[in-house]
Amino acid sequence: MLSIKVAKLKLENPLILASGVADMTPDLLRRAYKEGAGAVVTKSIGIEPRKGYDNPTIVELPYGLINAMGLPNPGWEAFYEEFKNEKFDFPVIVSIFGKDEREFAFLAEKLSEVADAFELNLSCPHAKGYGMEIGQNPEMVYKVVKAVKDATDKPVIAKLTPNIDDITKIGLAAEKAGADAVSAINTIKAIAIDIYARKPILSNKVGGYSGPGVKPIALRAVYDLAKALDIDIIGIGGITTWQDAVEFLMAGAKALQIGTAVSLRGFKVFKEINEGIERFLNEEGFSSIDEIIGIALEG
Amino acid sequence: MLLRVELTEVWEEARNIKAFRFNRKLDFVPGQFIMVWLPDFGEKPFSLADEDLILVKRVGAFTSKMFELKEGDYIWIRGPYGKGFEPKGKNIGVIAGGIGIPPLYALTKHYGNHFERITLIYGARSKDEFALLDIENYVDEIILTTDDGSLGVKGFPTDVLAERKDEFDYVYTCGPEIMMAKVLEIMNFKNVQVSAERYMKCGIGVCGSCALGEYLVCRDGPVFYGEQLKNTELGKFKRLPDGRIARL
Ligand SMILES: Cc1cc2nc3c(=O)[nH]c(=O)nc-3n(C[C@H](O)[C@H](O)[C@H](O)COP(=O)(O)OP(=O)(O)OC[C@H]3O[C@@H](n4cnc5c(N)ncnc54)[C@H](O)[C@@H]3O)c2cc1C
Ligand SMILES: Cc1cc2nc3c(=O)[nH]c(=O)nc-3n(C[C@H](O)[C@H](O)[C@H](O)COP(=O)(O)O)c2cc1C
Ligand code: FES
Repeated sequence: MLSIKVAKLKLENPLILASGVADMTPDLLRRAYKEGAGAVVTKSIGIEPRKGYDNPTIVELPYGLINAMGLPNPGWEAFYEEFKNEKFDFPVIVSIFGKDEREFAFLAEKLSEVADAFELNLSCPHAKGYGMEIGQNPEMVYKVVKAVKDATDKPVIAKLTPNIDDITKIGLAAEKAGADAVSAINTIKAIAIDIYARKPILSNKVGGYSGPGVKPIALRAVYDLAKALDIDIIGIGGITTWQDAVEFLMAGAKALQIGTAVSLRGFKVFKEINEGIERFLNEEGFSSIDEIIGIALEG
Repeated sequence: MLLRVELTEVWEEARNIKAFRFNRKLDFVPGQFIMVWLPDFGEKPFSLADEDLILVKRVGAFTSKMFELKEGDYIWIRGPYGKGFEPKGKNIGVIAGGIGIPPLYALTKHYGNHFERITLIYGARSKDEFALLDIENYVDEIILTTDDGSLGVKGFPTDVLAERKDEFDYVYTCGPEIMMAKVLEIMNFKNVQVSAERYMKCGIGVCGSCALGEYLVCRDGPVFYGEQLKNTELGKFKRLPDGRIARL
């Protein structure tokens, strides 16, 4: 009832562990699957090892988090060495980031053997020269997606930034370049100041906002993308309850990623949401999840 | 949420170990930790020794900065975080190594009435490195070990545990990873709770930095049952802040 196909991948259920959230190691990816995720996205992997920014890298707020981890990752070589010996019973989507289309293509080529699909991080709001600075520019997005498509046979998902006036512009650029799907949203650029310290809390000062507070914004992004694009859309942003998940599906998302809610609710959040969706489908007389995808776009 | 607290007492408890008491009593379970932020200098995890007390060993830049703080100065904290100890057993052995003492002090002070007899086996490199606070009030027997033989038994706490393990029906441990791995081996992973350590950034189970096997130390731990750690890398390797595997 919950199984879906998205970006040419077959998933047991529509829930995917979001990039950068409790996904540093093969064991953690397996844990997410064991606790109910249908697929996982790895931490964003780049050319060189990066330790990320100094702490504080996170601020807890009443309705979510602001993070500026700074893309910590072991670099593609160490990642490849560790993952090439691992077997997974579920799709592993490898997130990659680079400073131009050549770096993205290089990473996709080197990591194709360990990836069931790639997600391109075109949208990290707090790493200088990476992510969002590329992702706000439709021509760059087109170039990067095209270069990656040429470098690998694996499905390619372009992850979009909400920090732009009209997200469909970059969505359309990704689609035109041959992306198999887009995922949205990454975090929203934000800041928090401690009034007694009289300064920004994060060592990087600005970071990205995620969690329940961003949900309505993310939902709007998905809704707009679903209206404008023909390729699959993966909804991300603040999904914490099964009701949130159903909203995103109805707005046109074929699959959903869960990030901050893993911290708020624990890994069990996957099972909670899956059970809720299934109960809803039964109670409302639907026989499969496909029947509600995009249902709210009509009329 | 960050909380600014004022230091009400600061004292040197042992060589290179200072105690910091602050003006806020936290509702905590022994074994839980807090994140301490010093604006401009970083944010790091420390176990609660008591509802308003941490013990800090000077090992690098952040802890050296902590050592400059005086009564009346502020620190910023968030937490308590993580899963603490669960009181089990009657005649327990408490195995501490070095700066592993704070959560075990909290255990004996706050959960003392759950146990019939508490034996503390505490090891340090030499005689001036023991941060005992007033733990003598909460335990029935104290055995100190030093690597250099300058006080108590010459050797490691695990040497004493290996000899006396049949006396204990349950064991609690915190200290250097190699020591804790040895405790697990001696206890055959049974009837033991371990307070583990990994590199922490967020402290709230979102960043994945503190991965240990399939667990997040900040969320699923820091206190684990021995059985949980059976097929993990504990005692074998850790990860750098960038996620690469590194030797202990
Ligand atoms: C759950 C937990 C509880 C802890 N409780 C105490 C305590 O009660 N008293 C105490 O003195 N120390 C405790 N520590 C260790 C303490 O966090 C480090 O000593 C401190 O962060 C060192 O910072 P530094 O800048 O002085 O040293 P650095 O030069 O940065 O590092 C020195 C050593 O500390 C470790 N370390 C540095 N940063 C971190 C981090 N963010 N997370 C984990 N380890 C780190 C490094 O791996 C290294 O081995 C605890 C650690 C954890 C994970
Ligand atoms: C701690 C943290 C780290 C993240 N790291 C990455 C990353 O490396 N790459 C990426 O594409 N997105 C990253 N994200 C963004 C998430 O994947 C997700 O897009 C965003 O958090 C919104 O979803 P959520 O509200 O469910 O968390 C990170 C988010 C958080 C909270
Ligand atoms: S420190 Fe971030 S998940 Fe544990």
